[in-house]
Amino acid sequence: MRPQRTEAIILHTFPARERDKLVVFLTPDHGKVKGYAYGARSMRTRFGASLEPLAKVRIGYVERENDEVVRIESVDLIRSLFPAQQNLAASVAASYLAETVDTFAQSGDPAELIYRLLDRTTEALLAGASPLHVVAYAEVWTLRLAGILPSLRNCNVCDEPLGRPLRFDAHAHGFVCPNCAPVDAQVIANDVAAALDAIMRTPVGEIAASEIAADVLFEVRSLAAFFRRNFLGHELKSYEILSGVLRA
Amino acid sequence: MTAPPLANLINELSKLPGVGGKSASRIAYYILKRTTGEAESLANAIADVKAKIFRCSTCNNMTDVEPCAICSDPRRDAGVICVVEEAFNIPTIEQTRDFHGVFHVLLGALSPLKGVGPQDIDVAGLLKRVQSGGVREVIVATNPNVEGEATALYIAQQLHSLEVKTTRLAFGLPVGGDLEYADQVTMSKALEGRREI
Repeated sequence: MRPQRTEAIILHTFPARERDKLVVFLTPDHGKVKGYAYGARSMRTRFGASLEPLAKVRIGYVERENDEVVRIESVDLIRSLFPAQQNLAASVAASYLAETVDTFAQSGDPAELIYRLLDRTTEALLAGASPLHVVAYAEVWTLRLAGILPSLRNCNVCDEPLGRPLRFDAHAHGFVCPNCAPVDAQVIANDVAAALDAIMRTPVGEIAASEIAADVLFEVRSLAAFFRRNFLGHELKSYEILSGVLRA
Repeated sequence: MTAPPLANLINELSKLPGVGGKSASRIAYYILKRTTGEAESLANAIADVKAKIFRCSTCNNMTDVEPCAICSDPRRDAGVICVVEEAFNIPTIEQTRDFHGVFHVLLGALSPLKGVGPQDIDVAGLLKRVQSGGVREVIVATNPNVEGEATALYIAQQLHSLEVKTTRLAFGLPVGGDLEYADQVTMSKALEGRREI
């Protein structure tokens, strides 16, 4: 039995047995961890609001030998996303962020960068940033951290530097130069390419404060969705729901 | 080697929520020890519930009469609708004996993580009831968690244009609890919902 105490962000909880919850949380040092929180479904639970999705907590847990599910001993709330979730779009965006990170984060390995991404984007939602800006930022960066986002600088086929406009070739799964571009290559509007560049270079707070237009961000999202679907073989469950809420 | 009929019973029981393999096995052996009459009575109760219980066409509550006993009770105030996620939330509110209105069961809550969107819950039925007139207040009694809160926000948005008061159950400290164990979210919600005494 090895006790651990670390900072974490709650990703997802599932009801388990009569009064318990199975909690999936992300830690900077051990990646994604699953653990039982006994009694967490009871109204008088000592865990309170600390196990709600995207709550940032200090969590104490015990690892059991030959068991990949840990036992959660204590959870102290550092920051709750509940205030931001008084807005429907922010609430659905938060669920989407949690599902995105849950899908790409690994168990057992350090996950400092993706942890920091989730921490900063959650912070931005709490500060009242536009959910569309935050989500587009998180989608692009998750793909980048997972090594799925193709280069925006070099051709995916011949490795020559890319100019503008960017050309997207679905068969090559990335951006290609004019020489390698097939006739059906999609020309990416310059403002969409500029938004992708800005996301790569700028912190989420600045992206959220920028005046990147909503339709440009929807384009960025659909490109990110293409790469993600291509990698996963399916779409995230919350993608369509979030798109509906953001467009409403 | 477990006899096939017994293995089958254990397998079926282990499909129930909250029942693992060991519990299923314990229940199966317990049933074996009871009299044939008691076992038949359990089997009949399960078959009965499937044959006779259906959803009320007005409120989605589980019932054996149409409309359900609550919707057809003339002493209930049909002008106040309490919205709950599941039919099993109704007895919890009924136990208080403080609520005299009627219910509407959404059949779930918005849960993007589970792929449950607005079209998957019965908000349309609620809107239809409000639009048909006579409803003064809708009390949203979804769970006090992220999914319940998102559902409440969605319902409030949908009801916004209709002339009906929309309220949400209070958040706060549980009766019998200790302040020192309250987390900051619960405490701030309790402060927000404080009342004059």
